[in-house]
Amino acid sequence: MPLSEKQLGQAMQKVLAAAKKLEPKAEVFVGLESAKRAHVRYSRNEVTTTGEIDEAGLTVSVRLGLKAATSSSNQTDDASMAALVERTVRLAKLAPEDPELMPVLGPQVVKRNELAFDAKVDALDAKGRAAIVKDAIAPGRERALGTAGFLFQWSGLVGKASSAGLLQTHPATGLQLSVTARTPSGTGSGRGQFYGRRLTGFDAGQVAKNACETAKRSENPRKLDAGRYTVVLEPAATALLAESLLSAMDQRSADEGRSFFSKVKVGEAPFSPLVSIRSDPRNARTPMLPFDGEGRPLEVQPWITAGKIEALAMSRFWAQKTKRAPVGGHGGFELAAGSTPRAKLLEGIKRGVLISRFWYTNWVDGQTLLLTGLTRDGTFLVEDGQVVAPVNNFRFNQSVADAFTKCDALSTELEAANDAETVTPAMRTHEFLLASVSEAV
Amino acid sequence: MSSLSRRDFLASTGLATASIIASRSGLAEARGLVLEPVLLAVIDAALSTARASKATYADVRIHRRREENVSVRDDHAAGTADSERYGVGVRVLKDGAWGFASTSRVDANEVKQVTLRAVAIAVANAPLRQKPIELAPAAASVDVWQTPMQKDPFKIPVADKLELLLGISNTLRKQKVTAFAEASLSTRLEWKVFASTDGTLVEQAITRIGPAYSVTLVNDGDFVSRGWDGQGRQADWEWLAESRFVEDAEQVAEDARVKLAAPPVEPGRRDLILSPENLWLTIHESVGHPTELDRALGDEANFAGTSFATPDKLKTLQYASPIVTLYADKTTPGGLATCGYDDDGVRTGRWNLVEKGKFVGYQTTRDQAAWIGEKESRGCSYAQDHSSVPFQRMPNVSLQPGDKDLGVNDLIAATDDGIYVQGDGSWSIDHQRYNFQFTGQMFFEVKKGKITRALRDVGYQSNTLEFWNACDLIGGPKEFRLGAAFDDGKGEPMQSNPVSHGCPPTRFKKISVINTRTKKGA
Repeated sequence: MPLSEKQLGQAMQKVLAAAKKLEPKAEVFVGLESAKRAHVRYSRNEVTTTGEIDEAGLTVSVRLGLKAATSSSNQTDDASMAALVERTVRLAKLAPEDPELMPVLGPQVVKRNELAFDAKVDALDAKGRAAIVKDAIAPGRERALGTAGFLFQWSGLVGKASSAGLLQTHPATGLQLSVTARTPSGTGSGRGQFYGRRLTGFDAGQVAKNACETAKRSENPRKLDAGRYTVVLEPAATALLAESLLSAMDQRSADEGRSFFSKVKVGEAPFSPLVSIRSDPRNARTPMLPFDGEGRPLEVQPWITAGKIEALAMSRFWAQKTKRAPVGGHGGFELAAGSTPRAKLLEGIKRGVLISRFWYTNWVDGQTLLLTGLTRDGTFLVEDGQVVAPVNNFRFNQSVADAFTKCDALSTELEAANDAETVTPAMRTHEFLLASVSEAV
Repeated sequence: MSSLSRRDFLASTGLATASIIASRSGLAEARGLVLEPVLLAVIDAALSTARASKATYADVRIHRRREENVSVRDDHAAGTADSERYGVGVRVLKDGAWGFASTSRVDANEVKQVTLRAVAIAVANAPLRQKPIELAPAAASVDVWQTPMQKDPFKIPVADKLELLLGISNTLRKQKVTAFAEASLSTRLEWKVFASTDGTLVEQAITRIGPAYSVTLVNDGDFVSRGWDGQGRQADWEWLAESRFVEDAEQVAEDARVKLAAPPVEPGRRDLILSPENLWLTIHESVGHPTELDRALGDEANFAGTSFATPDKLKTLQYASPIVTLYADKTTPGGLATCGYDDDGVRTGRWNLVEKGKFVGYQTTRDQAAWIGEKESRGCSYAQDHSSVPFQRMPNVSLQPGDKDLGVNDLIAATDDGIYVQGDGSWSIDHQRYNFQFTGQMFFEVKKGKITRALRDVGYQSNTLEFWNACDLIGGPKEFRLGAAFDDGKGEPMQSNPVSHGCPPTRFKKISVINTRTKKGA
């Protein structure tokens, strides 16, 4: 059984007391999670692997002046916790000094986020999960398509405490179902997905039907040459580009001259005025824990507003060194919806490509933010504003910055297509380099 | 501490007459089956509870995973971290379906409850199977296996490791332009005891070391990075001392200077000479993953994808040119995936995946062998820790060296117009393993048998079959080296698998080279 919030707090206090007894002058930070994780995985329309894990994860950081060490363990009995503290103190004493160390945080005012937890997700058991998967498998069987899927349930508590008086705990849940359908011919593939913290709006059968419909629509693709195209990116593809852009928005590397953002700075507006990205832990569409990994409260953080860069992420050390305020620590974000209904994003496109999803992306060049990857699970030719045929997949080599600069439409609809803390609309952009053909389906 | 004799164990499993594989030679240093009574009770609780629940098969893994990571940034320590995860995973086959559950509490009563939970999960999901899972037979083994060990890297003081890294960082930063350096060392121990209702009891201890460093130079609005070419290894501390980890820092620093000043590559088709430190990753992506049987048959369709190498192409597909043989081997000395037994309890071995250019083999587990009519598993089952479900993971996959003992200088001398690529960089491949793109660390133009100058911004893009069929020159055994992935990801929930790939320098004809910055060739 996962620990209660009270037990979680008590366990962290025990760790702090053990550290204080051993090394009274040490600064100590404790992170403790207690969670149940369960999954059902299936392929070829039948269950393959299943599992359930119920355990804790304890992390202890000890700082002795500018010397520090961190240890972690999944053993939370009193003797194991004391041993972990002893080991961490011993390691810290051996470590050379780290001038970038920051003091542990003291008490923080954190407002709870009730949106992060759902008792119905918490209550799901093996039978409940099997029932969900049964609903997810049915559409594939009915349509004679091969489906593969993954149901994941997470439910637990996260806690942070420090020797300076920080103490906070918070419950959270998560539910994920993704389904990939493939046609017997091997030429069509589609995907459906649900990511959320709550059961609200979850329909396993519909997720699977979405996958099946895309698989059928994408069957027997036509050959289309590589080249630069106007593209419409479905939310899953848009999310991946936006996540990549945000991951590069770091103040320190910009200040050090080794980033795209060394030349394009905060306050400038390099992106389309349609592009606004911000993180908000209490946004009902992107509910997050209300504190970050260090226990710092998370508030609304704009990153890009109407194409203008508002902020780059900044650690506490870099903020202190450069006399600025730390920024970030959020898990997710929302790329703001646009004003074009999803169905109308294709309008006006003489010849372009509709892309459902990207796969295996990786940075190629940090100076231009050139990202490579592949299209997958439904790629379609658009002519004169209409989808006219499924086409082969492509490798893309595209500057993420250019893609957001050349964006001229975003859909009114938002979707959590990659995780529970990120929502994005569908996006239209231009001169997107589909660099070579991929035979993969 | 007490030891469990083979007789005791076989008596407890009711398999006293089962055939037993003798311990392998060369394992004189192995510690032996030294098990605490509590662990014996845990094993018995799991297996007896599974039998009482009428499970047709069950196994239990007691698994301890320890990891130490130290790192430096520029002139100071950046992290000293130590982690340990310990627990028990129980897997049962009941009503034709798998059930799995785990716990971090290693005691018999807890494990009994965990086993019952695994049974309940199997029962709940059995109606969602279309046909029952079938296990290939595996010989019962009672054995021990461990990484050959003279000096345990966990016993080297952290301060010594950090001092080593700081020395490297200082060397890397001796530059006339702004330089940033990072260096790290990861040490991992995987200790596990596996026992099954088939009568197997195996204890293994595997130690892996992952050293790394890189330098970034910044000058006049431009920047380049150069990372060390070396790779992780299953090894003791002596291996690191004997590697060129420290010595190479001077060359890496010099390479970064050369790279910063190098002209960009002109895109086009060129002959590529790939160093082992580059080609290992291409082998991993274009041979290792496509020959995973679960992927070929759709188990990974929802995540990592499927494979072009489907069973109907076995023994017919011309995967590579006739000089190419690629083999799987979980016994390669120093290989990250090397072990004595897999997590199905199957003894490991070596076999060909591509033989003289023909596609001939797959990676399999006990519950997959029958899918392609094979009578036994290839021993590729692995779970990253006690709380993870074992499934098919990649063994070490390597390119067999050529018959002639050619070195990289011989390959360069034999090339009219090409590029010599050192080290690994960016990588990406499609979800059926056709279209791939790789970069590297250093690139040298080769003209008329000689290196003429360094280049930068080089990437190569190809199709797996086109690429391997364009292989026309393979170096010999003297320059065969292992590359490695410490954390190869696969599965849902994703699990990490350490794996190595060996090869000599090798040449590929007329491969599409792109410029990764001008965009025009990309």
